[in-house]
Amino acid sequence: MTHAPPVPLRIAVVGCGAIARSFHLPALASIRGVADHLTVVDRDPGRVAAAEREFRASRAATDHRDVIHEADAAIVAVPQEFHAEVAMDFLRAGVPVLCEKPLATTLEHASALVAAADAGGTVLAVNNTRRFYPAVRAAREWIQSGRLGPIRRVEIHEGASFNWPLAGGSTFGRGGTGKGVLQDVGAHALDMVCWWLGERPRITRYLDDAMGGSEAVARVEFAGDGYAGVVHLSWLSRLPNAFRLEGQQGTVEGGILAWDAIRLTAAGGRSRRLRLRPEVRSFPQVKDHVIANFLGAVRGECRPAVPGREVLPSIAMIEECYGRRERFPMPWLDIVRETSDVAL
Amino acid sequence: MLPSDQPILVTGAGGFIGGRVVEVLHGLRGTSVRASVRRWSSAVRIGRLPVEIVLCDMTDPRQVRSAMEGIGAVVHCAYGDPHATVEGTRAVLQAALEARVDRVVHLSTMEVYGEVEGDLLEDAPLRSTGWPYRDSKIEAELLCRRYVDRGLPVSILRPTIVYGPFSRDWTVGFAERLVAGGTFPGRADCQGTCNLLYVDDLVAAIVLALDRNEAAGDAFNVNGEERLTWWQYLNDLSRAIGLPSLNGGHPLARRVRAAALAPVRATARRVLARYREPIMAVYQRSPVAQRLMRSVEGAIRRTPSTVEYRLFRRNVFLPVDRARGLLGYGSQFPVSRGLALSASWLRHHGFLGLPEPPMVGPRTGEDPL
Repeated sequence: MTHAPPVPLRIAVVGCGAIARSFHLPALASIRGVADHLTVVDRDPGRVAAAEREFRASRAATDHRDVIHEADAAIVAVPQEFHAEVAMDFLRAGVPVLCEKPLATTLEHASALVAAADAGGTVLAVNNTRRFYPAVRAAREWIQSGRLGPIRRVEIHEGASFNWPLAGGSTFGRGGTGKGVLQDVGAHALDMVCWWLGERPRITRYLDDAMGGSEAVARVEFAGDGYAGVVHLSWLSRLPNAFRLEGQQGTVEGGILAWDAIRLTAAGGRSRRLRLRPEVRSFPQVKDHVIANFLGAVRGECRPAVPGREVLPSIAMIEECYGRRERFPMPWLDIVRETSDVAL
Repeated sequence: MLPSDQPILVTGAGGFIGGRVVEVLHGLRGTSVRASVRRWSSAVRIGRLPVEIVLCDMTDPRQVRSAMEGIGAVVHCAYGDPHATVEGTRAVLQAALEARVDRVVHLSTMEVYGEVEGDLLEDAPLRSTGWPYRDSKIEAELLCRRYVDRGLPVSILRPTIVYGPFSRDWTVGFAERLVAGGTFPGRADCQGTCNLLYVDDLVAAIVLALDRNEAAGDAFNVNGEERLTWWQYLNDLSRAIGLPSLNGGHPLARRVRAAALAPVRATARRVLARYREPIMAVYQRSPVAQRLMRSVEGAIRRTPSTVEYRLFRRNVFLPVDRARGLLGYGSQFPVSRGLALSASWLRHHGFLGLPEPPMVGPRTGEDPL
């Protein structure tokens, strides 16, 4: 049996920073019918030229508006604060979009994108990659199977020393976005919570360490009907990078990036390791699955793995957190005044 | 005479000491700060404050001149490999001379005195030993001297063992080893003097060096004022983070283990330096490789190195009489206080385990996203 070659797709990748060059472009460049019709866009002429050379793009531009009508689909990988603006330009022209997470930095903008996609019947997908991770998927399957019983507690602790090769510093310091690890890693972690539970919990407390700039450590406490939880995030230290879902009849624990197994503990205390046999077997494979899913959705062959509408609850949680932020008690910082007085 | 109308440039602001300098200077009324970092990813800590952050490769004189525009004074904390340390310092000094800044405070190190013992005052000779870090810091100091002769008001600070929040070498690393049940040299091998300096004492000395006219053109030891042994420090740290005192027995077995692991440590460092990318690619793809690499890394982290043995036996002390006399410096952080603050910082960042009920989940690698 032979397959007909896939219909060629002209994909525009907007933003040629680290995520485009390490994730989207390598995946696209390996697909027949796509690799020969790649468009790369970046406001920085040097960066777009480098991406054009490296991935043999057939077209390069410094303004995404110049390529909207030449693209069958777009991947939006610009800095977070520009996601909504760029994605909206494509959606209004009826061009399907895969947007990096978070879909937008406000609920209002994210909702407007979803509405625009709905109005045009256009695909709007979000790259909330955690949903492709086998341990995260397995945890959801366990909750949905009902075998954990009603959920009582949810925990995610995710942190590592930040080393993402950012092309710009708009996140940090004076004139920065004022939104750090919560908006970045929290967009994944809170989406996991909402996806697992099938609802948006209410925030009971939010603490972070921003002092007029962007937070590097954040702690979200939340609750729902019969359960409570915490999401603990850090850009400054390594945390377990693990989750724990405690139900009335059992508990599932796993590493967010575990590819081989999760742990299941029955309410009686017996614990066992459950081997995962995932479709996605290692991190480098994730990009191929994300892109294949998006292209399939563009061709009408499948639904997007993470439709824009499904991330609205997590974006609402992030927005609510920022609206009620409290500062962690940090006595090692609070002595600045005392130190200064001593010195002067 | 801290400049109030012009910002203070802090180089190496993404690092342990530079980061704290930025935090403290920002907290001073009327002081504005320009923080320079080598890459944006190292701006996370100082990015929590509304300070100006600029990207600057210290070895590029053009970039350094640009970072120096409109600056009133400089705190030079940046260092790197020997070339970056020396050429970065040269670029900073030259740009500061051209910009006619009021003061440059250059962060040197106690290591410039070499491997000698005894009480070391500032006029002790600087001794190269072939260790690239030490030799490049000596060369950087000599450059400072040359620029002093050309009229640039440079003040050199020689801090000792600087510990506290964000200290990877003397706080985080030791605490992690204690929590993991790792070993240290035995009591008999830890009787050298630990010249322990809480980071805020150093920053106070930096502010004084910026502020006092007497600081220009001179070098100053900056140290805590308690003479304690490494054994005392390690035990105080252990108790501060809620663990028992160290077991000081079986020094010979520990020495043998440290010596046995030395080639593994050296090989791992060389291989990682040369083949980081392919190794990380294998690490990401293979759970078996992840387990193997974590186990080697764990063994290295839990075992004292031969360098540690040399350091922990060394009897050397840096008095601060000159800093006290000319700058008005005095340590405000006895070890008990510095360790209490360090412990609360370690706890906050999860280095001592989670504040919430413990999790049993597997510890995974850093997420590439």
